[in-house]
Amino acid sequence: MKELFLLKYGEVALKGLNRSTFESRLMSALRHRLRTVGDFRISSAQSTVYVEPVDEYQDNERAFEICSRLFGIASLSRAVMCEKDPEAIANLAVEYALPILQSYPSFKVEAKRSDKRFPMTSPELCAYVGGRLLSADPHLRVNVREPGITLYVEVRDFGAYIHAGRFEGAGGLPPGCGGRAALLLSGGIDSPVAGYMMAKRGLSLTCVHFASPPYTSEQAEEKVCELAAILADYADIDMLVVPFTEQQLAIRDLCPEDMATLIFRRMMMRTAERLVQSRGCKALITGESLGQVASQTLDGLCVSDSVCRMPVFRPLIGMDKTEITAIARKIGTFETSILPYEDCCTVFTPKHPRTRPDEEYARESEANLPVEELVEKAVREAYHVRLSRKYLV
Amino acid sequence: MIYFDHAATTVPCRAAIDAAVRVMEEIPGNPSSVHAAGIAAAHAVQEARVSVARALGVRPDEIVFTAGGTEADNLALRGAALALRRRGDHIVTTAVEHPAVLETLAALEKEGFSVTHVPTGEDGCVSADAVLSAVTDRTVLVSVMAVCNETGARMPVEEIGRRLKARHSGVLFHSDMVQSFLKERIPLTHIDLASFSAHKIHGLKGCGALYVKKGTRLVPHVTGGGQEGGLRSGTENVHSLAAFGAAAEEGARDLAARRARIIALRKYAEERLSAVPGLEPLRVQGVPDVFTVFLPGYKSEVLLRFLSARDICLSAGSACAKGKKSPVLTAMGIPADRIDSALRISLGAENTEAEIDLLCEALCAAVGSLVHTSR
Repeated sequence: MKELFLLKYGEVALKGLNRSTFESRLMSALRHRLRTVGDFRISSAQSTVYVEPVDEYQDNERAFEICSRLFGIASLSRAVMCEKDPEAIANLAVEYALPILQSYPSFKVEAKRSDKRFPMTSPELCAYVGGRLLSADPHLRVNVREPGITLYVEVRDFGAYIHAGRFEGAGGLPPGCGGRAALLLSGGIDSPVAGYMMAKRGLSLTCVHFASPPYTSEQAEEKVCELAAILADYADIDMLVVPFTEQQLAIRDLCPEDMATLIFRRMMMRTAERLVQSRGCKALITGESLGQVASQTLDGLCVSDSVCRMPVFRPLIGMDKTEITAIARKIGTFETSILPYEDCCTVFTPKHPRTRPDEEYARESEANLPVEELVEKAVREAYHVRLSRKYLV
Repeated sequence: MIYFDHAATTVPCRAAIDAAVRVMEEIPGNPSSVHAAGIAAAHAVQEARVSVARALGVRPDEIVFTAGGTEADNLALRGAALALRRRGDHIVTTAVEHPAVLETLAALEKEGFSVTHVPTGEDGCVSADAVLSAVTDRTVLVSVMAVCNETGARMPVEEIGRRLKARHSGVLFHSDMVQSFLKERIPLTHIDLASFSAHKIHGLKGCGALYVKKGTRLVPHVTGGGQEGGLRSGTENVHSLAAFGAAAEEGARDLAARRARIIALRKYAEERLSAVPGLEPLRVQGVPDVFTVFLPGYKSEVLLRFLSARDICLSAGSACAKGKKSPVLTAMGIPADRIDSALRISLGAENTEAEIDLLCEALCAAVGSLVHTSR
């Protein structure tokens, strides 16, 4: 008895002429991700993707986790398969489903047949399989109206599938079908969630992290790489690190203290935009939420946006910290985010940051800063990090 | 790599590596087995026991091998406290012990023991008077480290042992000697229990010993097959023990030469470091190997990364307590801004004057280029 996964498309099924593009994106993303786990046969028919482990000793739990994190999939189930024969189906139902059904107060069988040549109608098949289960264990109870669990029997093109229960998929659109954007990734809770949310709408992510050695630690950089590696389940990820110490020191020495954080943000936006436009990115993504900290006031956001031409996506802008934290927990980044390494040394944080800056004051504050030169240097010194196995937790 | 972190760990010596490899390649047996392979392994363990015992000037059957200094401390403190529970419930220690001692005693406090932490003077040392006056008629155990792992301060353990045993012969005396082993010669005559670690003396990590004076009863906390006289069950870590024995033998042989070398290095380091602007040494009554300096205004973490980028390794306080404010320096009454900037330099005989020069250059460069990080 070999297990396989059935994945059902979400929104992709609604697309018109573009559908095949979406489908092929989905399939290649799935193949790419499962390759890290083992050998799987992957095929699709009738808005369903079939994932079948080739080797019995593969890590099916991890494979299922990968499938459940794949955007573009609305629901998924773990199933077993047999030939399209009523007798074989009933035998398999007893073998596979009986132990599952026994832990529920009641059950029902629901049958679907897309192959109309099958000798029984759907209601007949339900009754037959249900009867066989009841005779195998007379203590089972049937409840058609409110079953404790529903056992699905699907007679499809290549065989019959039995599965109990359906899991919610990740939803959204297949990875990469929306293009590529740059995610400003700190070590905090918010930015990985922002990346997740935009990946859900089909964006590939180029993560950009700003590091200030020796004021920030190598562990802090490793933590960010770990976060990026977790996001790699959800999106196609690329990771860049930008050494930013010199820029921060220059800001500290040449700009008014109350504007330090905002000018730092402006420099990050400028640098990120310059860095990623040659790498196919068409937008920036940040984890800001309105009013969360001094630099995230409406005035603060205006001042940091005004330096770049790319659109800036802020999927968390209207969310509370508790809502953001709940998503971080769900997607598995929370535990890593709260590791206690400083991402931006406190030395550079002003005591009394300005909360209502305006563009004019920001420009005045930057008057002595060699902006172009600093951005140029940061872009030149940025380096690519390969998200190898060592970052997988 | 320039390595000034010998109090955290040392590089295994050639003799230790060769001994471990020889065991792994040639002596695969379990020391408890009856066959020839087992007997060969038992011999290897016994040889190591003799080497360690000789280095300490004690009998081989007084050495119990453990999985390191922390485990030796645990066995000594828990084992003694539980064995003497009916006689009393009070333990005396110092405020500057290693966490292996402090945390174990904190756990015993939860189990009903009371613990007195004797403070140190400004020189980082406890006085024998202070320790002895904390002993009451309910006291069952006194634990005082020989050398402080953070400051290098030397505690008067010999005097404490002698006077304690003269007045309260029933009270057990334990000393954590991880940092003094093969650096200072401290006779174990008046000491009942003493902890040692292999990787601080150029052996391998995950291996250590507890000296248990003949006739001292302990309650074991790792129970099982009854190895190590029933005090520490579990199949012996034969290759690490062989390395431990080899390292102890070599260390005992070279002790005088190493010590002279380290005294010379320390003197040189003090002279050179005094040229680093703003640097303040922590003055303690201590060993030459380990010392602490402060660079007020610069955070130790940032300094360590700055030095690490130049391939120079040292610690801020104890390597075991990264991120936490050093309780040892706090207990000595050092102000918080000094503790934030503390660097611990621990020398090995392999260090050179040229390396000390490079350290001083790097510290001068740090002062010149780093921004003040604590305000």
